[in-house]
Amino acid sequence: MAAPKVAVVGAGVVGLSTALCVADAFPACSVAVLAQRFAPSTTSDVAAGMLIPHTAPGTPIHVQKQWFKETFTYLFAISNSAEASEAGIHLVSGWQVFKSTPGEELPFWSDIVLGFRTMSEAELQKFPQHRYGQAFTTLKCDCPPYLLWMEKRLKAKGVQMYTRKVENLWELHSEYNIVVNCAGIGAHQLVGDQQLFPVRGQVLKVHAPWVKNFIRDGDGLTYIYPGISSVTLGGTREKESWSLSPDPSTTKDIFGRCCSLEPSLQAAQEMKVQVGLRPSRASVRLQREVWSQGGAKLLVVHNYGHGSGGFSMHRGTAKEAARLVGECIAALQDSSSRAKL
Amino acid sequence: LSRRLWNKETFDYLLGRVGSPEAEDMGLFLVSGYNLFKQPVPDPSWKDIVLGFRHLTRQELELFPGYSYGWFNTALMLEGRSYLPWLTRRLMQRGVKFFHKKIDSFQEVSGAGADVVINCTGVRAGALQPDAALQPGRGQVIKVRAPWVKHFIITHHPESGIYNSPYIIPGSDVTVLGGVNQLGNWSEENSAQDHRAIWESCCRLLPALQKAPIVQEWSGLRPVRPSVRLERETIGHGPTRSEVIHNYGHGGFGITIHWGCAMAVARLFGSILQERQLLGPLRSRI
Repeated sequence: MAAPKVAVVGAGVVGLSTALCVADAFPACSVAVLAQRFAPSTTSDVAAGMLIPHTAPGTPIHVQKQWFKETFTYLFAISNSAEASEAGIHLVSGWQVFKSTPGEELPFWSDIVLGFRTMSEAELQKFPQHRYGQAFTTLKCDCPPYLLWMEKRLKAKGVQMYTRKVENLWELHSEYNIVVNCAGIGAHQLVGDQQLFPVRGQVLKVHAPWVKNFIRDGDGLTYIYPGISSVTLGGTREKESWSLSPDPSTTKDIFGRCCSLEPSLQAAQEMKVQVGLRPSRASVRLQREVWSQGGAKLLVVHNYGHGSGGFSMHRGTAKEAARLVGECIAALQDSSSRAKL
Repeated sequence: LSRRLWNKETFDYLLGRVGSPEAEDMGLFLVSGYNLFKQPVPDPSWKDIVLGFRHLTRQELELFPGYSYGWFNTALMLEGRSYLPWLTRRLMQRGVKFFHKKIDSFQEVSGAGADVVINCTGVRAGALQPDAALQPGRGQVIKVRAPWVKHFIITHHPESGIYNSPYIIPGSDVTVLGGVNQLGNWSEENSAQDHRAIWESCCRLLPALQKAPIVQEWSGLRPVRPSVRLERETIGHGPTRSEVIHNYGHGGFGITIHWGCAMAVARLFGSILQERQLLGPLRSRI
């Protein structure tokens, strides 16, 4: 049987990391990435890329923990290597502060990030409106650098990248044996998944290089994440909003909220406003399907619906998707060898 | 210990200002990071002065092969590049005059009409009055563009002495790499040997630095003294008598204790004023 041809649809953090895992695990396969948008125009490019997980309601905690741990470990090694600056991966320390003490005091990821502990009274004095806080060190994946670094590694492995709007996965059945659907919010239209919905996020990216620590309000709405070339100020979580246009009054609101947490931001310059739609779902859709029509067949692996957890979970879900691709390859070889009998 | 008090006073003063709108102008901001050791050490006297002091976890120590113990804390950065102009502006607003001039003696200044001379001449204080306890602690630094570095990393090698092992300090514009403290060396020329030692040791400490472009290299002389000289002295007699307040010899921790020292000097100055009032009203002759 000829080497299986795999197409990964989507070139955000999930698509590219999945393509890398597939290419690494199955060097005999030819892998291609097809996407309407590449860096710097993907949803991932809007996100700050902080490794702070959100708890998805539909996935068992131990699975989320496993995915986060795999992702953290993988990126931790890159952050401590000569590749770190090109890959855009770096450690950042800071505080998550709460106006009222949260019910669960130890999030599932507290032993995976570094140095997690409760904030001292002296530290809390910096946040007079907040009564409780957590201090820790985690990783940040700056985009576009991280995506561009993955694209470079993919090209080095012979993975082709094509700018192409895929209207329907079936259209790929004559060119590819296996399709990995990492279309993110695009899956709503691409495969008609009604359980997938956007959660709109608007962010500001400002020049404030003296901000070295992250600050996040435990309500998840206000955050300050210092990156390599800008500080991301956020944000919003607007369920079911599909609008990609920046809203000026939202910009003012975000800036005001962030300045309350970090007054020195008043001096920040060069503001860029961006909007992204978090591809939200009760759980990540990680499963494989066999599509057939007439005599033709297409093996599909889905890996989308990461919501706010794309960066936090990407490597773990990419490995799982690659494992499912492995099952597809085995199925192809199986039916191919049976065909020879 | 006065040094600890001055350290605390300085830190508290600046911490009170880090949330103000002026912080960026001052070059003042919070930064977190690591102090690394090759064996367990007692906690420092400043552990309750800084924010969030704790020991490093085993996971964190994996980042730093060769180091088996350490601290994490949040501290303050005060960049001189911004702070000095900011102080200058404030002083000018208060009518303080600046003279760009080499002073050869205290008498020269008091003779020109100064009632009190405050001596903040740093490493060259010996030129105004010999001080065998004062010597240069030569340092060299490499400034790189590495905005992905968000933490300070300071190593401690007891056999090398303070500031004489690698350190990495992220500023608002450049990241400073250093780790040289040569006592008695007056040279302000950059040394190629020191450059190599700093670059190699810092890249070993933080591999992520390897691709950082170098933007500047610089050497300077820390005003090293067994203790800071902060005291009054009356110099000379009669008409050329000077009241001098010395405030020099801050080694590599001048910024860390500067405000506490300044307030101590101000108190000494206050007592001079009180004494003068006992003898008659103070008339400024400048």
